[in-house]
Amino acid sequence: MTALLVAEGLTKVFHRRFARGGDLCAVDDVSFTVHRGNVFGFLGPNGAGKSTTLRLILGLIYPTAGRVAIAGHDLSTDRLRALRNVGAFVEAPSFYPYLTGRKNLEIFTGLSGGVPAAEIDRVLELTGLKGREHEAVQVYSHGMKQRLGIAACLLPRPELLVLDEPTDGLDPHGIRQTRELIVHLARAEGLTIVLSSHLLSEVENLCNRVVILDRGRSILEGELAALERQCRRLEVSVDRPEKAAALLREKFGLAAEIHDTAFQAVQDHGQDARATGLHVVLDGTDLAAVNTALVQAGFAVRSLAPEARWLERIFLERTSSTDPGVRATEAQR
Amino acid sequence: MNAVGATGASGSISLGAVLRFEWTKLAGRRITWVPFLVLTLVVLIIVTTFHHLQFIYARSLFKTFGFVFQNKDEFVNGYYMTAHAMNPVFQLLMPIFISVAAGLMVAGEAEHGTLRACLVRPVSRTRLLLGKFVMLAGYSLALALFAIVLLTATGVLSFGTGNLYSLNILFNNGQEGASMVPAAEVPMRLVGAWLLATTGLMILAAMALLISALVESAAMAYVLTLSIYFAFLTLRSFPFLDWLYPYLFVTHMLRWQQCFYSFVKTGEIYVSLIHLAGYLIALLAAAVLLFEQRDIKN
Repeated sequence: MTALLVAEGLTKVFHRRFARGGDLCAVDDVSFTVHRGNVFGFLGPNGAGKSTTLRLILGLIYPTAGRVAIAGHDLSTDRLRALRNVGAFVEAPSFYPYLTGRKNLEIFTGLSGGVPAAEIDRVLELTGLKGREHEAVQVYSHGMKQRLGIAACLLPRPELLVLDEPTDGLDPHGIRQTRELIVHLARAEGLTIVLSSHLLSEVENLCNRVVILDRGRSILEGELAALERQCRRLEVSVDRPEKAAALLREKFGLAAEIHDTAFQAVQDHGQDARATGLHVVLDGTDLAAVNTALVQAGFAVRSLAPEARWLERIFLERTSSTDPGVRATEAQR
Repeated sequence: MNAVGATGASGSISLGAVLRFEWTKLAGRRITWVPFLVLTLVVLIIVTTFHHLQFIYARSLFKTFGFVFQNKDEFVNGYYMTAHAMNPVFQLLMPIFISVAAGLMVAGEAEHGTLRACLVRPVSRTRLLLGKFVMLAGYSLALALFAIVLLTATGVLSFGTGNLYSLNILFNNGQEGASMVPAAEVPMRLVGAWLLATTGLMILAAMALLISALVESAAMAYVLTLSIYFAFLTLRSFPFLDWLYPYLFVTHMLRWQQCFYSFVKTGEIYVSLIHLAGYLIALLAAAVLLFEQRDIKN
């Protein structure tokens, strides 16, 4: 797989002469590579530097240090060529509200060299806006504006799509439609997508590679499948958890951590809510083999399931809240 | 095939494509047309007022400079109305209209996020800003033309034509006395005044665009632009600061007023044109440099 977007040592310091606290380092030495065909997720709490990083890779703001290259073109020296194959919106898609949806697409596309009218029709069809394109954008719902934003990104047909919080503010139907559209664009149209979100399920469902940012720094980057293999735990509700842990260590070399809070699965089944269990990182070991070993050794296995919210756990463990109230509570703990 | 937009051989977007983009936005925005409506209303009010006024005070002033008129019909005509209405229209209204338009073009777009949407496209920042300036200049030209044609047409239709008498003091030339321009010369004088006034407005457009490229909100942009303009205009109203006049850009912006003197000082007009060209180049260069380096944070 070839690299389409390369960011090396990106750093952005905002000089704030009159602000308390002095300069702000919004992005600090962030590096990542997006390969062709990837759906790359940017994760991070509010204020982590996601949007600033996206602005840096789109040339909207200039890095204090580091470089960005898109399709081999350095953004600082060859911005126009670098952006030629990029479709993007940052923070929220913005349009001229007094113009129709179609007219907005036409004029923005004009800034990228223009496309045939049939291509605009195709994209309107794809984003479900056909039939509403002659209405002024000011009467569009939030969901329609988001879809028009994606439509604008697809004209002219880009190689790289950069979407910042594409489902932000949408209702469940809108979220589902947008996610289906992104999956379609990645799989059927073969686009490389960089997606920023603080919705973990969204990133988990859509992306194959992620970077987690916190306070401007990259704290984790990798293939989602590999991270899952390394980090996703098996939640086992079992009697005699210490002995079960010893068995798993001996038989499979697995590190098992005794966990004394009740599992949701146990509670759901009306069983002992204080039942203890194990957290086991499988690291490639077959789940069925673990189950068989425990049962054959005479353990009463009440439930055995892969951790449902593993990415959320990793995210919460490794990132800090930007909300001062939440931070104070975390500090007290 | 029905294609939209244009790409140059190098892949960058042509100035023509940027101008089409700017024109579509400008024409589609309702506020673009409001100044035309305001100008129409102002002209109607002026015509009505001219019908009802007896110009007693003006006659007494003219008398002190040797022009004796028994009634207003001897000096009030379409040309008189146009020349005298140009003062408030070109000194007050037009700068407001242009500052607002310029504020919306860059700072307003930054505020609403549409500037960001433009700049993630492969368009050069310099070309985008120059496109905005050309459109703003065209808009100023059109507004100025509309104002002067409407004033002249309604004035001539309502009050006919004749020699143009004017009080020099009204035209800020720092001289006392009154002027008379023969009727046959007035149309050319009006064209000259329109061209000079429009050239002066270009400076304001460039300054407004520079300020608009620096600040984050449209309101801030036009308040700053108008504050600077009116501050300089105020400086120009103090006679004891007359030594400063040649260095104030407003002096050169308002040089069109000389077109209504009995004798036009062409030398002063050329000097002002050179100053205006210098201001234009400096302001545009500063706007482009700052816009190229600006972080688009909104």
